[in-house]
Formats: sequence, structure tokens, C-alpha cells
Amino acid sequence: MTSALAKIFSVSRSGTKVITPALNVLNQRLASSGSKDGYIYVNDTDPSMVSKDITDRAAQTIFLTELIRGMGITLAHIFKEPATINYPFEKGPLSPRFRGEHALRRYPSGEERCIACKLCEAICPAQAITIEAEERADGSRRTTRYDIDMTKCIYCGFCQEACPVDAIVEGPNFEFSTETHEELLYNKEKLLNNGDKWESEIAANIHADHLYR
Amino acid sequence: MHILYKNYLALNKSIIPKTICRLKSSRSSSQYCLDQLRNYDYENFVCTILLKNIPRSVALAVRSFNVEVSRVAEQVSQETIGLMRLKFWEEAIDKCYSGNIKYVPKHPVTTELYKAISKANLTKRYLKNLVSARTQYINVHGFKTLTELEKYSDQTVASVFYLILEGCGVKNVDADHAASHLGKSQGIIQQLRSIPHARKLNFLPIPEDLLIKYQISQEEVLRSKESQKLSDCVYEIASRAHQHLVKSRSLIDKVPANGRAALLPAIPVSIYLDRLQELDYNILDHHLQIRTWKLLPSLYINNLRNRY
Repeated sequence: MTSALAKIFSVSRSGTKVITPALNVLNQRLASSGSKDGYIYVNDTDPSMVSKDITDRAAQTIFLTELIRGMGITLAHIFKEPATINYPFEKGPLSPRFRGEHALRRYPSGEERCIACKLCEAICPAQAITIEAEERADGSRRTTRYDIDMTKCIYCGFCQEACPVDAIVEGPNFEFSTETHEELLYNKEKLLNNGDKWESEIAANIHADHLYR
Repeated sequence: MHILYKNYLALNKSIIPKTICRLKSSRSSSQYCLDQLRNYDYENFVCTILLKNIPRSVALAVRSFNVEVSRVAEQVSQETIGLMRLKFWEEAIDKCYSGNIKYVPKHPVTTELYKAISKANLTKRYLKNLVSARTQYINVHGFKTLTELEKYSDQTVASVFYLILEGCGVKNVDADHAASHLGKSQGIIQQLRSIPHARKLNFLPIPEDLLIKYQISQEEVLRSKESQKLSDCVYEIASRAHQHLVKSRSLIDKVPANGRAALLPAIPVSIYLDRLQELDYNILDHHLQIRTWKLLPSLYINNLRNRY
């Protein structure tokens, strides 16, 4: 009687185990084949308590939750803003002090700023700048040649700092790769064109607010 | 506003060829100097445009020259480069005095300076002072004493006033006396203003002896940390500036009437000092960084009444 009660009790208990019904069926077959006294053991046997089996079961449940959690993270990231940018069409933020491609600036009147003082040529640690100057017909001293070897340049920004008239600047452009070496030997025309192209950005970066010294 | 301007540029680029666009926006060297002054020295810019004809062009030239040399220190990363630039400006002064426009570097500021020198009798020494004081302090990162700070402001700020007074045609001891005190006062205020920017400028605007007296560490100033000690220290510096301002204003009756407009920057100085007092000498209060509406009307009224 007591054993029957125990069996009924175990039936109700095993009813909660719905996760592994296939295993239950397998267990039933194995159990019933071994009965000799007319009883058919319909319940699954108690899970084995050997430490190896316990570890296996624990690992199974743990990995299942891990899997679900991982899926959850994947799902969450679908709705998040992506960390990457679509580079050639989208640009990352640049510091106003960024030192990129060189440019020669002009005054708003269109007159070029450079007065051929050659301070940039003197300060350049890589000796990348070459200047030749002569007097113009109106008596002003201007450069006839202003070359920068962009393959020698180390982008230290000293030329920009040394220029007393803010003529040579290192603008915000960093996309000027070329296929040949010769294309990176910039002349005055190229530098002035750069200045015209990037003037609004360069002017915005140079602006400050108050006089302190 | 900036976006609007950009759009305007883009529009110009698309419709009008570049050369024509440039001709359209063609501006003279004085316009360039005015723009520089408005960007970097707003209060003095307003005082400059209130002046009459010749004094105005002199003030414009001298003040924009001052903007150029005073910004050198914050633009360079190495002292030698700064010295190179200052040397350029020093030579530019000599060239402006040579009397031949051919030798003057083709820079809007030097062109204006050349014009100013030909119009008024400006003393070369004061212009040189502007450069030499900056040269002296380019590798120093602070003042030793308050007196040293006063001397520096006398060289850098008061020299500008002397030159503008010369532009007004005033050669008067009392006028120079008033200008000297006003220059010291404005120079001290200028240093007080730079305290929140000390880290960026790499310059300690509070003299060392006062730092020791009030037991403030340099780090606290550089990190812009508010404290009662800092307020007390600022109070002492500001009261010195106030003394100079009062002294300068007390000489108003002795200053010739045509030279008083040159000393108009006393108004922004006194407005700043009043606001500092209202804010209990808390120099780091962000309200001090905002322009007041009082500035323009009070400048205009005082200019009409020929007072400063």
C-alpha cells in the first residue's frame, strides 16, 4: 500500500517534468522491460545522483540560459544605434586642431596671404618646403614657387605656427591619397586651390573669443 | 547663423564663378582689421568705432597690431617659433617707419599701421613695447608679483592708450598719467578674465606672491576650482585694478577734451569690476563670460557726454 502511494506520489511529481518528455518515454521502456512481478513501472526513474551526471545536467541548463541570453543581446543590438559609420559617405568627428592636408589661404579680397618671409621653410624639421620669391610689378614681395613635398612632411604643424600672416595652414582634409609619388609633390597652385576649397572650414577652426595676453 | 553663411557660400559657389565671387566680397585692409578686432577684442572694438576720423584709424591699426602680437603666445607650441613671429612683427614696425610702402609687408595690419604712422606722429618706442613685453614673457608662465603684473600691463595695454592719445593729437602729461592708470587697470582685468582659461593658455594669471599669501596651489587655479581663498585673492587683485581706475577717472578734468574718447575702455572695465563685486568675487562664475546689455548704451552715453 505504502509503495503504491509512493508510486502515485512520484507520478504526480514527475508530471512537472515537461522539458524532457522524450527521455521519460525512453526511461519507461527500459523500466517496464525489467518488471517481473506484474507491475509495470510507468514513471521515470529518479535522476541519477552521481556527481558526473549532476554536472552534466547543470551544464545543460546553464548553456541553455546562456544561449537565450546571447540571443537577447543580439536582438537588443538590432535596435541599438550602430557603433560603426558608413565611412566614405559619413565622416567621424575631427578636432579643430586636426592637422591634415596643407593649404595656402587668401584674404577675403582674393589677394594671397603669403608674403614670402620663408619662416615656414626655416622651421620645417623635415625640410619639405621649398620657396622662391621675387618682387612683383607692384613692388610687393611674393612667392614664385611654393612647393611642399607631402611625402617628406611629418605633419608637425610648425609651418602653421610659424606663419605670421596665417597663410599656410594644415586644413581638416585627410583624404588626399594618390596613385603616384609625383602627385604628392604639391606646388603653389595646388595649395592655393586647397585653400579656396577648404576656406570656410579653416576659418571656422581658427576663430577664438577673447584677448588674454 | 553659421549654417546660413555656409549655405550662402555654397550658393555663391554654384552660381557665380569664383573670381567674380571674390571681386564681390572685395574688402579693404581696414575692413579686415575691423573683423579681427571684433572677433578677438570686442569691448575695445566698440570703443574704437566710437572714435572720430584720424584717431579711429590710428586706434584700429594699433589695436589690430596688438591683437596680432598678443595672440602669438597662445598660437605656438614652442617658444622659438613664437620668437620668430614676434621678430617678424618687430621688423615690420621698422619697415613701417622706413617711409616707403614698398618695404612694408603686404599684410592688412601693417598696411593700416603704415597709414596711421603717416597720418599721426606715433612714437616708435610704444609700438616696440607691445612686442618686447610679449617677447620677454613668451617663455615665462606667470608673474612673480602684482607689481610685475602692473608693469606688464603698463607695457602691453597702456602703450596702446598712449598711441591712441597721440593719434588724437594729445601730448599731455596728465592725459598720459590717466592712460597709464587705466592701462594698468585694464591689464589686470585682462589677467583676471583669463583665470578660467588658464589651462588652455598655459599661463598662470595670478601672481606668485599672492598665491603664497592666500595659500592657493597652482593646480587649483589651473583646474578652475572654486574656493573662498581664490575669491579673497581675486578681491585683492580686483581692488588694485579699482584703485587704478578711480585714480584714472579722478584726472578727467585735466585730460584735454579731445583725448577723453581715447580712454573710453574705462567703461567696460568698471562694468566688469561691478559685476565681479555683485558675484562676490567668484571669478569662475559663468555669468562673467557673458556680455552685458549695459555695455553698448553706457558707452554711447558716456561718449556723448565726453566722459570716461
